Amino acid sequence: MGFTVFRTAMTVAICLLLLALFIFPSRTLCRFADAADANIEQAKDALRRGDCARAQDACAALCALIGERMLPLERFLNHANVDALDASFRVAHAAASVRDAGAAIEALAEAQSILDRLRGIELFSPNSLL
Amino acid sequence: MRMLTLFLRAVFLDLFVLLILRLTGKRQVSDLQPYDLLMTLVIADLASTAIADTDIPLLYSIVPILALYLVQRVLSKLSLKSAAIRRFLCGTPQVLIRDGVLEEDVMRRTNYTVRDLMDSLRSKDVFDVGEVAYAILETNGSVSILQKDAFLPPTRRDLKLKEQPCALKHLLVLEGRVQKSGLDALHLTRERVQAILKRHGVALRSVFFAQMDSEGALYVQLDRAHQSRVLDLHESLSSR
Repeated sequence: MGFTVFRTAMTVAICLLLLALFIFPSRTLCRFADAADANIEQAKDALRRGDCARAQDACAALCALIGERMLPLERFLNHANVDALDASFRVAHAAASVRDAGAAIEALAEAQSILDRLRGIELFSPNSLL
Repeated sequence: MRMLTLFLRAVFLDLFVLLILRLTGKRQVSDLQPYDLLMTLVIADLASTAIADTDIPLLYSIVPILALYLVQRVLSKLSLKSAAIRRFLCGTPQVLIRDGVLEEDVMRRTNYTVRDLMDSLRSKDVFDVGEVAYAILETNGSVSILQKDAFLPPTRRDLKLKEQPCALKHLLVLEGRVQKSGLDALHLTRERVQAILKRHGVALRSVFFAQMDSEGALYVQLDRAHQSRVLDLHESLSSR
């Protein structure tokens, strides 16, 4: 009797946990990706206009953003992807600091492709099932 | 610190898998249906992936394991409610021998060879197919055997002997320590056990193992210091 009650309680808890895991990680990723996308666009735009100071600020914001969200992201994303994203942001920041617009744009494009890949894998869609 | 991380992940996932397997309610491999066995193997594989690779979040192992557990729970609930689903999931027992005759068609259908069957018969102390009334291949892969009446050992009832009551033996003392489960089952107290042992000249601390049934049959084995001496005693429990 005791075990049956325990098992039922555990099963309910597991269902709730799974439900939470279906909702919260993708929400965290969405918020992070949206914020990162906005900063990437801002940095790219500034680099195209030759405004390296603004680009540097946007890249610094990207580095701060991933530093802040590293822990929650690593809880549900492959650590290699999070590290690659972090590295791309740092490369872009370093390139923007020395006014190397080409290298910075390349690093930002790499970061954006990693973000798109993560969105493709982590957010539910019929394609991600396959 | 990577080693510590690996160690802690292994400990955590081991405890997690243990909890999940306990929740499934299966206690030993022989209890498992083929599907349950498969699920257990997949769970072990999923857990080992996250144990060995620290780049993978633990959730990558935990979520699929929980999903498999839920599927297993749903299927076991459904199979309790529906005979058709139970048949689909577990199959049906198959009669391999009927009245001493091998059922060739069934054996072909279930891929059960005559050698396998003979092994199973021998493991149940049956060495002649002719002695078997029924041999049934159970859904968990074991073979149940019913021998023909002529080859069954006579029972007390057949011999018209007085039937003895069946009494379950309870573990009462282990390595000099009185076992609470035994006391509860036999409605005894620690002091009463000590008094019983003392009456037979045995000190509690010298007892390696003692068991007793509700009829008062007491079996005591002393420890090595007392040459592992065995005492087969009887104690009246009526005065308790």
